[in-house]
Amino acid sequence: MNAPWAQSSLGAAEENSGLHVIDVHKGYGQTAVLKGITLHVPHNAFHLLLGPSGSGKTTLLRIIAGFTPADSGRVTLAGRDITAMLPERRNIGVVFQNYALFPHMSVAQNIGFGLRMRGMARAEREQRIRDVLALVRMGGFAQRMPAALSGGQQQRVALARALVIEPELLLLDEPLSALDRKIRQEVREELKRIQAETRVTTVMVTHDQEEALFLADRVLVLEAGVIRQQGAPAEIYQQPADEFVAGFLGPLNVVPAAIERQADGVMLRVGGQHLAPTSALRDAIAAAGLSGPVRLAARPEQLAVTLATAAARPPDALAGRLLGIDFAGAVVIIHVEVEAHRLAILALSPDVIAGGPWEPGRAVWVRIRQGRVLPGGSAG
Amino acid sequence: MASRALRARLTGILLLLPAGLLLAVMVLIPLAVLVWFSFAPEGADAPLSLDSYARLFATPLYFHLAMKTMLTAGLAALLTAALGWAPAWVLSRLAPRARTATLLAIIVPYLTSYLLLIYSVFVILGPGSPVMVTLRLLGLAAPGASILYTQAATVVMLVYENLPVMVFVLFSGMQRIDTTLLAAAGSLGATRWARLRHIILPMAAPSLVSGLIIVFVPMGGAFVEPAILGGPNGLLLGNVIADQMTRADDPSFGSVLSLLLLLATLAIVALLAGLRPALHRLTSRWSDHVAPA
Amino acid sequence: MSRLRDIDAVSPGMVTVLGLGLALLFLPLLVIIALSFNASPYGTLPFQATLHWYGTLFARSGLLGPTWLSLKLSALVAASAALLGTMGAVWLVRRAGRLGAVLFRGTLLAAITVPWLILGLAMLLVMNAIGLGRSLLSIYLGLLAISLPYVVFIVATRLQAIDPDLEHAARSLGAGALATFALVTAPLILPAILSGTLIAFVMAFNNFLIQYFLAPFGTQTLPLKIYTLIRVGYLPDLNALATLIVATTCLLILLLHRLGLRNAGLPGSTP
Repeated sequence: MNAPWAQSSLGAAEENSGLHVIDVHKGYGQTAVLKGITLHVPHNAFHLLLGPSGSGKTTLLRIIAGFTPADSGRVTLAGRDITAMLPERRNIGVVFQNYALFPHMSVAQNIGFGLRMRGMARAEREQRIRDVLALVRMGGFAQRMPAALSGGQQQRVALARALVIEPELLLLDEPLSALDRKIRQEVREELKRIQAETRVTTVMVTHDQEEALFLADRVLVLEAGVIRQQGAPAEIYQQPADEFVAGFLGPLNVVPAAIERQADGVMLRVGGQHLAPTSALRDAIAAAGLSGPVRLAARPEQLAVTLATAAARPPDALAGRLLGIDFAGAVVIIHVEVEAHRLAILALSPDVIAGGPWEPGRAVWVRIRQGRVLPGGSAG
Repeated sequence: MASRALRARLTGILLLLPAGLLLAVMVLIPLAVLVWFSFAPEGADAPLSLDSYARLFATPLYFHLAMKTMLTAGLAALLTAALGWAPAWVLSRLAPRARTATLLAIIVPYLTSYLLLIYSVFVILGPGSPVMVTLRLLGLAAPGASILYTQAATVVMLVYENLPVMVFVLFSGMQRIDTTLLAAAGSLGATRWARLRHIILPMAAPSLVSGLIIVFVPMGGAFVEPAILGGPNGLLLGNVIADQMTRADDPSFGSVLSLLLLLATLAIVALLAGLRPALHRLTSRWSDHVAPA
Repeated sequence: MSRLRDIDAVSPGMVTVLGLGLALLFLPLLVIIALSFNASPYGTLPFQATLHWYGTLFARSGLLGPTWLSLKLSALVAASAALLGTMGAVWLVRRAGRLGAVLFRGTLLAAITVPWLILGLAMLLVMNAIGLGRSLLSIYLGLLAISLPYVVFIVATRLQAIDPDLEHAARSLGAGALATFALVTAPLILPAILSGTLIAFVMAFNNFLIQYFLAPFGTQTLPLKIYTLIRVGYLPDLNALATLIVATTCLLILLLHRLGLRNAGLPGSTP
């Protein structure tokens, strides 16, 4: 299992496969856009660059594709150093944000373009075009012109065009951002299916965390030209490396608290209330290794809320006041106020609608099932 | 109410009337008169006849002249397109501020009277000018040589006058070619030449045709350029027409020649306009005909 | 770092090509401008800077008279074109039916695309027939006919782009047709009217052929004067005048730019 020779051959294979970006820097004038990016996308993997606008993700994509040179650093693909290579020699398929379909060519001609550049004979070309159109489920559209296609259809043609050349790497630049919400869901699933079927090494760029979590084998969070964290979607979501990553991947409730160590264990004090932490929370406190003033960070789905009864407040719950409820279809978002802090809690609709009158002003009990402990920041 | 509708009609007519009347008198009627005169060789009062047309067909000289004029204009138009292509392309890739500044600069010679342009070219090409002196010093031109008073000078002048227009028309078309398309082509393996051939040329072709049409028409009717710069063998159809109408005082024959010029120009323009769909069919000849699955 | 360049970038090679093209375009004019400050009356080197010719131009040159005539004539034509053209544009955009619009546009296009050689001669035939013959009035009418289309197209384009709901709003608030036009429409199309007028001015000023065929013998506008002078050869006063004209044209273009006119009536801007 741990045979060294297996390890090293894996290492050697890894060296030569997939995409390597090594310490890439890029700046425009005085502004540094990429500050030392190093990443590795193994063969067949689907990696996602996630970041807000201005984070440098599109610039990184352009450097990998060869549309702009890096200031320093290296890029290798399948063992070849492509840092200085012209884009037309790189054999990288690119799907652009606005699809960039050649308006004067039909769907078939668009898709056949890359094959024509490679000198493929007509018969073979036509076969490949047919095959890839079937893959993206656009079989009857070969003679249509791009202007006659909807956004979702154009996107699939763009994908087909990039895939048909059997590239060593597929780059997708925010492919879903121009689509309507409903189409976006469908296309997302298509994308995942197609990548799984073709097993092409894929790097996608997006600012939408939901897409990232859904599609990727591995997510790299980029901000201000630096990779803040990389890992599997669940890992990044549940164990964000810092507040930026945590906040970017989803809403986060943050409450100042104090850790009080007592004889029989650890207690949390939130405002004027004492809270007995759950075992998960106790682990988080232990893992953080902090004491005194801290901040508790929990996602809306990690909190639970029930209507208060006439009985005394349970030791593992905080007393709060219901502010309001947002209905969002399958789930509801419950807004409460605890010790002058607003919290948002996610619950399934049937659970809330079914039980009791949830009116603003009602007393409620809030439980923190899981969370993270961050160092105490500024008050409030 | 009926009177309101009537008043609306009236205002409409009043709005159009001055301009409409003027154009009728100065454009439509003259063109009609031209046609009429072509059938009236004996003067306005005499009966109509085909004598002027007979004269035209009896003298092959005029057809040769028409041919020569069309060839000269055609050559000049093509040269203008050839010279204007690259600058127009670069212009379409410039950043907005540089682009605006350059466009404004190009408008200057366009708005300058072409008499002044002719004069300036005349000065430059004259044997005593600093330009010719320099060329002679560099050994590129024989002493006393000058291309003035040759047909080449006419062509040079026509190209020079029409370069701004051509650049602008080409630029308008090229502006619509998004650089992302070139990036996409590049990512699919197209080298710079392939990108020119498969993306830029086909997409800019319509504006190329428009540009050729727009500059060809005035070139066909060139009068001043051949008169001043063309030399003894450089006269074109325009000069002969003007001569017939004024000095020779034969407006009938002049009209016939005018119609000949108009017809020849229209024929070439129709040919050029017909190029557009042909160009499109040319690019789709490399098409991949994939039957619906 | 390497030969790989940003795909969006404009390479130095491209800039050189553009620069060469521009240099070719401006060379003749620049030479004339330079020579206007040269003392030699034959345009020969060595170069001696002087303003002498500018003085001559204003003092004794026969160029000022024709220039003045051209200016007056063009101004009159431009003003008339502004009025008639705007009225025509309003008719075209707001009142014309399909047929009427096609006919009007067609005639306007004919006025600027039929070779002016032919049009000018045909105009002369008609002017002779109706008894006006060669005269200042004929030139005025002829120039007006060929500059009018520019005003119509420029104003009509602008007018079409105005949301008709603006006028509807004014009417709903009680303004009659005339008031609506004066208070709502006109201010919005004013830049277009001004640009169109400037273009009409330039077109009228420069149109040699119409002037050539319709001008009475002995009357000379500036283009006509230049035509007769070119055969004489080099003329330093003319250099000075040309320089002034080019300078004015530059100012005019900047003015047009301020007024927001992108295309200065160049082809491609007609609707």
